[in-house]
Amino acid sequence: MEIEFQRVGKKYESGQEALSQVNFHLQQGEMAFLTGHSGAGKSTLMKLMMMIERQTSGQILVDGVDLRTLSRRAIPHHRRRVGVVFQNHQLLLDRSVFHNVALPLQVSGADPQQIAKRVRAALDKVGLLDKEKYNPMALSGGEQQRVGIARAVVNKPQLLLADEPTGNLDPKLSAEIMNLFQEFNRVGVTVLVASHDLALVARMRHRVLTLNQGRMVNDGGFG
Amino acid sequence: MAQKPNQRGATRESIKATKHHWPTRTSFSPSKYFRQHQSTLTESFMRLVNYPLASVMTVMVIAIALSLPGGLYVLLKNVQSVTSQWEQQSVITLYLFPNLEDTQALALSHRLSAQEDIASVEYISKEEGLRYFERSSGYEQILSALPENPLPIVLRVIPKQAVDITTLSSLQALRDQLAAQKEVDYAELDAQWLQRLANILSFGQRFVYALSVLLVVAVLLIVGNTIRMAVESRRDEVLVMKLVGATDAYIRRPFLYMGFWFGVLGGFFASLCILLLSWWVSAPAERLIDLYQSGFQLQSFNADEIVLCLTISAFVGVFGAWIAVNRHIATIELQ
Repeated sequence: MEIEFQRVGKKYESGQEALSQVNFHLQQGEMAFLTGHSGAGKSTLMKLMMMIERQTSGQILVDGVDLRTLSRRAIPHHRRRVGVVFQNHQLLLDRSVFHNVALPLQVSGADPQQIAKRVRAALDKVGLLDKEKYNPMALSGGEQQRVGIARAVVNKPQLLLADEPTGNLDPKLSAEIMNLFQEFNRVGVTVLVASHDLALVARMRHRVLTLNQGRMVNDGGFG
Repeated sequence: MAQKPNQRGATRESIKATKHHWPTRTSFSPSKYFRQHQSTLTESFMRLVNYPLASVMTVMVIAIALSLPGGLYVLLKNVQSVTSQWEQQSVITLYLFPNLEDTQALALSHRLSAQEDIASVEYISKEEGLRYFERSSGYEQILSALPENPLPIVLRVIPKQAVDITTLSSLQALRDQLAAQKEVDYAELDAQWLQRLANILSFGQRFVYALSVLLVVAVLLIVGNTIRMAVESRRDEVLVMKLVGATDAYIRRPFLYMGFWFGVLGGFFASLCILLLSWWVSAPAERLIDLYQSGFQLQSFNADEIVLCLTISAFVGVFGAWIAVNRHIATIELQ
């Protein structure tokens, strides 16, 4: 998936300006990091791409389509093409790992056999195939995060967004998670990871976008 | 979701464009559609089963609320059926104008006996009337003191129809028609008690209707409130579903089915209540009927009425859920 931000701004009704004049272009199949201090607008940028919020100025093109032209009814279909991983992994504790990962497929109406096949493939990829029947609560923090990743990739999204996916993980687990993202990128998925862990970001050697008080202050380099 | 109103409505072209660019947008497939509905139907039922106490309480409240108008309806139905068997020979008494000649009165009598809906006409002359009055009232002396006979000629018209609850209105129409004859001073249909009964029954009917409406509204509120709490307790789930691309319809569906189950189960238990109740009162009622040796059969809820009760309650359940879900899901948005 190809993403293009053109002078995008987001101003809240309170008057607070979360993003202003943000420009960047993420090619199909590219992987990039988004860094910046907390409150710099990383999460807002992710939310705009998910259409959780809408920009107040500029335009966001996804595969050439202006997101402003999408109606409310089109939003779910847009979200199905984007996988998201959050720091607070948002797993549902009333169901097993398997059913958590199956959710995006159920929502889009896949048939049960297909669901089982793809859920197991996704769990296999994150190394949790043997834990499909567990409740997420019984898993460690790193494992829970991997369940979140499996859920994000289970319907083969063309774009993978991760907001502080390694937030409360130790360096070794963080590196593992980052490697997972890299693997998905290798098979053609566009990946954008928001992280404030600059050391880790620098080690990954990918393009780095830096936000400061809602402005894109650096685009390129390795952090 | 923070949306600016002017950005909300997309044009048809833009939706088409979406389809064009994004072939992953799912096309409609009937088998998939039914599979989804079927699995939601069973899942929503299992959810009720998983919270047995709360579900049973809600279902029972609905059942009680519905069995009240249902029970009254059955009672009314039986009263109507009993009273429709109470009939008597109907008589319309015509008091003719006092100054009318005998020949005119006889002519009217012949004309009326020829009328289709009249079985016979009995002619009571002034003298006959006086004799009858003397015999029955004991006012002989007072009457004999009067200079002339004050009584008018009376025609006793026997209509072909006997009077009962169902024929009352057509007999009243006949009475009005006879009263309009120029020779007739006053016409009286001897069915006062039946008229009162008819009035009481129509009052009862309206009472049951009004009560039904009130209790159906109550069921709507009960279901709405239960569903509202269900949505609230599944807030996290709704949020995650929105995040992974669930449509509003998809999120709404399990709650609508939940309302459906509440309605159907409530209607089922209400029907059961009514059947049990009618069975319980049937023994004394039948003894009572035997005393009057009437051919009356006690009626309960029949199959049609059970189906109607279930349909109405299912509809009310879904409708109540729909209102609650629509109001509530919109307030749960990703942030």
